[in-house]
Amino acid sequence: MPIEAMVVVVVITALVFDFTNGFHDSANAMATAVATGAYKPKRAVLLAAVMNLVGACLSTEVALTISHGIVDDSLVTVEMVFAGLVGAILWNLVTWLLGLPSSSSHAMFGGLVGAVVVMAGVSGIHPGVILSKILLPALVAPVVAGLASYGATKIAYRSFRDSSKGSKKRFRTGQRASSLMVALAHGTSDGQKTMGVITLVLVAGGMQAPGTAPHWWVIGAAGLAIAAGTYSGGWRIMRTMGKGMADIEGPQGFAAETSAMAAILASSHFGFGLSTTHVVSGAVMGTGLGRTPDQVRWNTAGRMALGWLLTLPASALVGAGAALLAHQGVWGFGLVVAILVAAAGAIKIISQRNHVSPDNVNDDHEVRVFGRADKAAPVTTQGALATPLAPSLPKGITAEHPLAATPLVLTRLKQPKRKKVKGKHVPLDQDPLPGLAPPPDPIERSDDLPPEPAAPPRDLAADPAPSPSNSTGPASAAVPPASDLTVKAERTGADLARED
Amino acid sequence: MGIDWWALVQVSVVTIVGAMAIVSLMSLANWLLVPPDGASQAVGWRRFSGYGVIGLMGLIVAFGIYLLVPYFH
Repeated sequence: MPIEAMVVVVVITALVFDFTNGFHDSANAMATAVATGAYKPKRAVLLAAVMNLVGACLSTEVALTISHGIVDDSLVTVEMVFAGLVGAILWNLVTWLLGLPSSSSHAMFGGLVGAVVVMAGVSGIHPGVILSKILLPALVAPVVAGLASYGATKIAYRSFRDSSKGSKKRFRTGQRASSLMVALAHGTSDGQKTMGVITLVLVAGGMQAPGTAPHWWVIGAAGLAIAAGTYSGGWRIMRTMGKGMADIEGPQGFAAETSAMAAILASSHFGFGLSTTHVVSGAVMGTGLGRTPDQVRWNTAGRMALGWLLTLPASALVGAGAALLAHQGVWGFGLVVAILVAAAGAIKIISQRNHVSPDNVNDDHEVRVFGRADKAAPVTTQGALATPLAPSLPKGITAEHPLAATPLVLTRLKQPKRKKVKGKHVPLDQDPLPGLAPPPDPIERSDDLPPEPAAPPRDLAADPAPSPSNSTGPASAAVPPASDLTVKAERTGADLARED
Repeated sequence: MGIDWWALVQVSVVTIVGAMAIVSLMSLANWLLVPPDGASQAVGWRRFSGYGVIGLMGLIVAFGIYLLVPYFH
């Protein structure tokens, strides 16, 4: 296979990895902000994407080695980089499907380790560096960030007044600022990582002089790829991070993001690299423990920890297989690409069974892969709330009928009885007791009265409502056109939701 | 390659102390700016001090950006 074609394929693969890195890690910065309502979901990912793009373009001090000494860089070839990227992309997609936050960098290192082992032997890897750069930070990051977040949460709740609007607003503003900082930090580290990979591949392919800065198009492409990935959301991981580990409030979000920010800044400044994903996950756990320890969902935390443990071996396994195939020549390279595309398509199709989107990211705390999550969704197609108060549909009314969403309105619009004063009929549009306060609304009054026996359901399809022209007064025009009822029903549903 | 334990200790201490310090400042600002019962807003020196602390937090954010951007240092 010509080296130029191979370089083109690897550059495209690196950009795809950058995209998956973006959507996998968008939750790091914005999950708590989305969960607490500090940002609306779409606005959150837009801002995170912009900050990632800015961060990626702020500096071109990319890493001179793509592996940071985990493998012998002199042995790394373009094929191995390609295989490592394939392993990382597949691991990112699988963990995204499962809604598990995991480190994209560790996945890439894992893929590279697997490729180097099968192509150059075990002597090509440095186990001590794997211990110090991957395993130890994976243990330290969540603990340190969790401790910081735990203490910060305790402090935050000493001054937070739930009843004070200003108090909520200030913590919310603080959370917004800290989230943006985390997004910026992510762009500076992960955006430039892909630039480094592409640059080294170009150098290996003889298309760029060694030791030179990345081309402008490499900076732009890598920045745009991670920004596009971030904007696409990664809502499954966002749900796990924001809702799955603990139910968090504004001060907790601020404490968690501030702790994560402090950990990221300190680790980059003192040269002890910590994964953003591990840091933020630990911070969210810590803030959950800091407020109400019993709300922390340990099974989710356990699944995440298992995912972190499997990141290196699983991506190494895929990287090894991809390297073996790619080494066979053009057909092997093509087969790896085909397998990657097919696997990505299959994962996408499976994810559609329980689609998580900006509209439902906060509706549940669990990401399901198999089985329908939307069975429990309490929202009907009309937008009316299916409350326990709503009776079943009358006979003859199908789910598509506009009245299907209006069972409560039928109760409200029940034809009132005529009122008698001293044996004399009073028209409904006339006050029966002039000078006295009007009677309360029938729905409100029903709280004080014993419940009325339920009326048998009326077959509305067979027995349509009387037209206003047949009525005897304004109030007896009981059932307006169905379109009007639908509008009123939505309002009624919202009212009931507020009352609940 | 050995483990840089000193860097690990530094990162841990700076993270914990830094995060708690920033949140303490935010809590202090919030405590100063929360109006007493019956009042619509905090009065006099409390408001002034509260906004002063928020300004200090803004400086910390600026320092964080300075640390993040290698071009600045």
